Amino acid sequence: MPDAQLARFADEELMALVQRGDGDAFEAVYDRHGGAAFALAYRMVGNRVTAEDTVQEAFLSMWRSRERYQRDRGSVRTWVLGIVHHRAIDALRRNVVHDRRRAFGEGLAEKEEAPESTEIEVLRRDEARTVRNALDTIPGEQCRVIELAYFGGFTHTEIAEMIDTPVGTVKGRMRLGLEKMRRALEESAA
Amino acid sequence: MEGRDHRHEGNAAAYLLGALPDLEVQAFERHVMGCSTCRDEIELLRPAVEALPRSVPPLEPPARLKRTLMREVRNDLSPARPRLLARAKERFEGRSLNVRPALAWVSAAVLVASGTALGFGAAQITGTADPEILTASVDRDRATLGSASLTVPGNSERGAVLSVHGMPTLPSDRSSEVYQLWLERAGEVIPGATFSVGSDGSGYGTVDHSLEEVDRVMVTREAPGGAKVPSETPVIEVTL
Repeated sequence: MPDAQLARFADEELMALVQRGDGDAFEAVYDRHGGAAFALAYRMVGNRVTAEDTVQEAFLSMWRSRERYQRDRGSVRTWVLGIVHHRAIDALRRNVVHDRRRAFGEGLAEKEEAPESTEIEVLRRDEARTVRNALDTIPGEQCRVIELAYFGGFTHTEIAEMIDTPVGTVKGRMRLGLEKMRRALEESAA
Repeated sequence: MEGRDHRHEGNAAAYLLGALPDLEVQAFERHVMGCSTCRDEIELLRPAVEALPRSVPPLEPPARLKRTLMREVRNDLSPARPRLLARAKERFEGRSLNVRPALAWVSAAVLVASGTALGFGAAQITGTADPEILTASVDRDRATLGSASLTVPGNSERGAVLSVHGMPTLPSDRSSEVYQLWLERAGEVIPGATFSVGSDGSGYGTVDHSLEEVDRVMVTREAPGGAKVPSETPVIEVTL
């Protein structure tokens, strides 16, 4: 277990230590972001075993390419979740027979949430609600293509076939939906 | 539309969402390098996409996941564990046993001089938990808005981390410069790591050496790769 003192370091300070090869600092990064990473992977791939594999692959790749982390290109959490997302998409596309539809819209994640044991976890739940509220402001057909793409790992052409809609329309819905979501997030932050 | 290629119109959202097939990703990334419209669109939509994973409430990962992961990490470290860390550990352990009065003095000096009353007692500094945060002085002529602090783990073998904020970004052309750390110990100035700051003037420099008997930690601006002796007076200085 990492030292309690490491838990007091900011993410970027931890990453400065991780980049020097400090395993304890890396463990602290995992403790801080592993729950969000596992939730995202589980939401995408739809089962615990694949989600575990995905998170492990993602964190190991972060550790082994730690020199590539650049703090001015986004927060540590964004970096972690971006890598988990890519790994989950790889897992979904490797396993084409997997029923990816299971991975979204069925509230899988809600049943086994981490206990609200810390202030940070409470804040993360609040943050999750804020983002879901922003998603709720998007018209249903735009929200659907965004979720199919991001959480389901489907390409725009696959989505176009699934919902029997031209690819150009699918791309347009993605763009409009994201624009609206960005505005909603800005308004909620203000 | 600079460099606009209609095949890529509307692809920014799909790209950010991970919805482009691999071959299209490569073509789009090549296209974006020459198309400011698409780059702007990516930056416009990026905050929404980065928020998407945050819509999922965190889940408790299984304990075995962390065990397996950290076993791999330790395996990576074990054959080539840097000697420096081992030496630093020895020094810090020695410090805990032998140099408590000096560290107690550091604590008192910090509390009095910087006014950064962090609530750390002297016993905590040599012992168990909290990191100590030392406020640095910054040369206002060269860094008008700059601030910096040195975080020293309480019983650490990890050296220390200098956090800087509001520092001027240094030129990135051929005359480029970096910030470099220096340690002053018994009149000897020891070169340390270099670091740069982001567009907001924030950055981090790591001190690899033990701070035992170190009098000052300093920062100067130097050529990329760092220097063996400082080329200017310190722009940042922390007196221990």
